[in-house]
Amino acid sequence: MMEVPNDVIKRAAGGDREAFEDIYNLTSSYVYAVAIRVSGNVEDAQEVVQDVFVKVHKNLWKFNFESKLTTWIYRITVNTAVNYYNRTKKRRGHEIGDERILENKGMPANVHAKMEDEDNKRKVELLLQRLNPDQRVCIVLREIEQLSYEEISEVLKVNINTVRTRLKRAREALIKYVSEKEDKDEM
Amino acid sequence: MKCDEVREILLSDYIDEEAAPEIRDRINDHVKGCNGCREMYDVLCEKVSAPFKNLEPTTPPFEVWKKIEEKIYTGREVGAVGFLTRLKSPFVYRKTVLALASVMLVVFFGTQYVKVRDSNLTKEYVTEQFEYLTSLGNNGNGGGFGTSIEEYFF
Repeated sequence: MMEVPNDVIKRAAGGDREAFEDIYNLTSSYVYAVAIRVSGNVEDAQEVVQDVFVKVHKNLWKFNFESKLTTWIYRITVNTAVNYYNRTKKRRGHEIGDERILENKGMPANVHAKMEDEDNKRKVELLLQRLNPDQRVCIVLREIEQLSYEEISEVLKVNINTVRTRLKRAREALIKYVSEKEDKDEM
Repeated sequence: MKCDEVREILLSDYIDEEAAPEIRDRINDHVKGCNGCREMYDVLCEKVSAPFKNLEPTTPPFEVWKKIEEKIYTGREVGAVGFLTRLKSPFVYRKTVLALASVMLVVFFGTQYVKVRDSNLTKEYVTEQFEYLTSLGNNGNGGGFGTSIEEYFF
């Protein structure tokens, strides 16, 4: 992931619009990726991205360069996405059915690569649905964003053993789900 | 190593490449000779981890940036990120402090100059008055006004 240069951060904190747009261009794709996987759908993720960057803009003057800007933005993203997920859980129901996920797609059926990509996205969403928000965030930060245990612990402000335990429990749950699903499909 | 211990590590540090080399070697040795652990690790890699690794990078649609701009620069947040917020920025803050310090220095040296100038004027005035009063006494008759008090003292 590309780091944001310090002078860009300083200019953006001083109110420079172009510098803030640079920060958005460098970081919005991973904010969006985390938001989609944590919040569960594209519409909510776009709301999360908006909230995240409004918060980043409002609080950038507080950023003290003790951590990386990306770590700070990940933290805001995760908190915003989890809060959004919890707030909208009742509206969406506790479990999002497989049909709902398919509804969100709208891919061109004639493109094979696109189909594979959509199929893979669907698999990922089905897997993530089986996890609680804490486990989901850890899996997203590790598997998709490729953060180290130390970086995840910094983003979530938990110790490394907690990160390790959440990942282990999440994978145990996913292996169980995959095995049960395969058994069911075979029957 | 027992299977339970091996699986704990396979599910976290091993697959995430956080395990120390000597631990990895021990796990590798175990997995080579243990079908159960090997099968579990294969499922973990192929069915659980691979879908995440194969995801295409995504970027938010352009409208999202437009909405953010609206909220920040034309919406209610304008006031919040306006002058006061910008003033709070460490960089703007530093500039403001420097400007204030410069103004205070100018004011300080200005008042010192006025004080020195005023004290010189006062000295000049006192000297002039003294010389004037002295000259009054030197009017050719040996000084004084010829009063009885002067005659008594001098």
